[in-house]
Amino acid sequence: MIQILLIALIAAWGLAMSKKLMRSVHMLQLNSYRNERYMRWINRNTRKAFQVRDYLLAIPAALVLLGFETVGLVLLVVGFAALFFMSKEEQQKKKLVLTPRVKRMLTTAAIVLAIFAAASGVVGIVAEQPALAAILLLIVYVLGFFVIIVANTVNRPIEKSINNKYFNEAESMIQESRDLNVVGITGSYGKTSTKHFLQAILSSELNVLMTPESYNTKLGVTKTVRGYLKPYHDVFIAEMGAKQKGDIQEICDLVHQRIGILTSIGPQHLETFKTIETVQKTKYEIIESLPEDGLGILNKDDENIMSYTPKNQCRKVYYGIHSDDVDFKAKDITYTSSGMTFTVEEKGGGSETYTTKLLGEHNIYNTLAGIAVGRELGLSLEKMKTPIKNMPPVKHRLELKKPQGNITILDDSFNSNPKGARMAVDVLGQMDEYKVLITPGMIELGEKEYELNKELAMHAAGKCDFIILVGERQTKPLQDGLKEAGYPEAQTYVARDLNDGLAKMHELATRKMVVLLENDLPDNYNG
Amino acid sequence: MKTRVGVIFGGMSVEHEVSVISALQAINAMNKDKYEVYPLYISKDRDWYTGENLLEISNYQDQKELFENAQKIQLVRDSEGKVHLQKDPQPKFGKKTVGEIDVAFPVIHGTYGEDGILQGFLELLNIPYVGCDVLSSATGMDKVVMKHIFRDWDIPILEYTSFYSSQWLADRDAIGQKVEAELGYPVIVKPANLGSSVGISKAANFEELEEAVELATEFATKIVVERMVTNMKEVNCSVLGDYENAEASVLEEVLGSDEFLSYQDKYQSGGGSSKDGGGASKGMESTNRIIPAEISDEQTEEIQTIAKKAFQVLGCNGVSRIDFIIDQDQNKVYINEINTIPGSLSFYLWDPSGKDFTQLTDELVKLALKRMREREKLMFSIDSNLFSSHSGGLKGSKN
Repeated sequence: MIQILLIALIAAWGLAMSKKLMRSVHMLQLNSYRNERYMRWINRNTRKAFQVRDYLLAIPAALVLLGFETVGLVLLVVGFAALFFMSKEEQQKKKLVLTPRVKRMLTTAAIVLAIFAAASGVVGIVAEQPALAAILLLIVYVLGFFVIIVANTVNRPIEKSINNKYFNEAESMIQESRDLNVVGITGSYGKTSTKHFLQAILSSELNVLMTPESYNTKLGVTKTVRGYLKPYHDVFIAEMGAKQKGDIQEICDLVHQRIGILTSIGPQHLETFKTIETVQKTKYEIIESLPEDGLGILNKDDENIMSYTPKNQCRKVYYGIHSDDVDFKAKDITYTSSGMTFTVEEKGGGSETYTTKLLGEHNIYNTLAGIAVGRELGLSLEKMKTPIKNMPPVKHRLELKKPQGNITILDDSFNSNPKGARMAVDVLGQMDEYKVLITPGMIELGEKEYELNKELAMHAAGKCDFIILVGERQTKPLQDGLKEAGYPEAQTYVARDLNDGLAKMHELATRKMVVLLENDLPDNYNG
Repeated sequence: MKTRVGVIFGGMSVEHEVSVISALQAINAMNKDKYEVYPLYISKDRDWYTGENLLEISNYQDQKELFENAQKIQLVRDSEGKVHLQKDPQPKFGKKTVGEIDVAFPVIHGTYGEDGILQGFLELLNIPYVGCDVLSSATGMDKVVMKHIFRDWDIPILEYTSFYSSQWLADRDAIGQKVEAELGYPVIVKPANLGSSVGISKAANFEELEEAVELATEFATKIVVERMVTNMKEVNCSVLGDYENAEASVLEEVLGSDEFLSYQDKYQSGGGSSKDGGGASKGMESTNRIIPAEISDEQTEEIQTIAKKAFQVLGCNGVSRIDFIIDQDQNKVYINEINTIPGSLSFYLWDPSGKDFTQLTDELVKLALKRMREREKLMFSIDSNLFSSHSGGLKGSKN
């Protein structure tokens, strides 16, 4: 009887465990498969990784230990089965993607778990120690979120050799394309938009490949090259993201860019970078790894870009709006209901007036970087008018959506930052309609996080007619900021989650309104 | 890396052999430093082949041997969107594909190749391809549809009438009266949708009309009858480009042995003895033509302007040849037809215009890539799944 119960227990445990495993591998994926970042997530979300109900299972386990084996084991079986059948899938913004890597990792994890299952089987049935077996299973279950770390570590050498093969293949594919111009883009903000704009501008004349949505790591760039680089491509645009030092350098070593664009340097990912100097050094890897005949394209209005002196001597072109003596300068910026108009002056060259559907000064910076590359690759200022006019807004980046009833959404929900958030609020402030801001605040800003969020709230207080804050706990700095700015409480709503916030928005929509959705809202941070 | 181009030729058309010649000429001309060319031959039985032996014209004499030495394939698209030449049938062991292509280059004249059908297949594969798209190919192939569009755009065409073979069978007298009243004899009778001159004949009276229609209905169910220009000059102009930019070539004047260019004139002149393929190839070039056409500069310019307009009105892409008829009595120019994949790709008109065949093929590939990247910018589907966007949305719909 005990034996049958133990087998049932192992089975129920396996089911409950598999669910936990899927959740943990999902979180690991969201943290870029990096154990240390995953651990940080666990630290910040202990209630998710170690749920109270898991501990409840200690009671039947104790019963087993005290000699009430049958009752204890039955309760454990029921408990694990309940955990498997009753735990609901959470709403997830970014779903788990079952990549070959995830499958390999799950296989390893399954083997690890099978070993534990077998061990507890041996202990419980062969050695006739059901209590020990039950406790072993319970401990493994409670610590379930660490199993995937074991699997990840075990698989690391395999993943490394697989990746290396891909890296080498991608590198030689790029080098075999003799006429290919490789353009690298990095920056704390604006690199994705710049990539899209550049692609739009260049593809009026040239065959362009760019890294898709968030393929901005070495692996992502490699995948793009191996999957999509065609012999006829004239330009390859690689977006390079950095979360720690050396991230950019390793992509540069792969793609050997001839043109490098540095859009901005800001206090992002300070949790890993610690200081702004490290961010500078890391971002400048894209300029310092340029060949002698390469070209660096830099934003002169960014103080963190200008306060660093690169160690190499390749040609550099600067762009800006507020700085003088730049190679590409935008001026006479005017906003109209259909977008904005601005004039670009090329140093020692002509000038041209552009109209776009996009909003905000940051989009002018992004366009300027694109124009600089276009000129380098032989496009005329005039030729770039049409592609710039037709440039679609980048999704979730101050994207003015089509009105739905009274509501026009200004969607800036994708990975925002202090500067960008401020600019978005400024753009919202220029709208004629009722102005609503929905935000969960900004994250990953290190020690300045509280201050920066508070500042954003105080800035928004002067621009918005209504502010919806998403998440009680994490929007505390914003709430403080609004209070300090004397923003009326009647015009504020603190929502439980995004859905609650959106419900409030619909409630307010009795008049024409523009709603700014600001900042990232991923599920691993809505605590 | 070289761009891999699949040149598609042969096909199910009366101009099968001409296509082979045109394609091999084009392959020969392509810049091999830049392009890796795969010959993709479609047999008259609709099977696809590739292989080195397809590059040699003399191998085509013995079809059985040709197929034995070539690799039978199918064009397939994989989950990453790459287009492979997959062996047919797929071997159980070993390599399943012969290669991969980045661009398709159709050089098939007439049915199934020049009329949009092949182009539709290539669209589904989502591979860039040279030449006209589905609609412009199809429009260029159907003489009636083409005339409708030209008439709408004030492009001069000869007076005509058209009917289906069933209408002819039902009431040929009425049609005969209409032809006589509206066009007047002599007339030219054509099948509506053939690229070549096959099935075309003239009729000077009702009896001849009956004969001519009988012949034409062997090739098509839709028949066109046109006023025949008796004192005419035939002049052709090639156009290269797309909807944005198009340039016209020098003109050629075609000297037919009969009043109009028959199939024999066009492709088989001097080719009666063309048992060896080389003869056929020579026959192609030795069609009696004068380049540039001996007409006034004014008229040349007029024809070039009309040619470009016609090309762009139909939404053509790549290289087309537009055939004109000059009524010398009235000194008036009429468009006769457009060939969206002209014989020899009209290279002999571009050579004297300052573009050799190598340049021509290069520009054609570039135009194909341009169209592809412009198309990629357009929205073809909506990302969100309407079935899943609203919970209970299906219940709300009318059923």
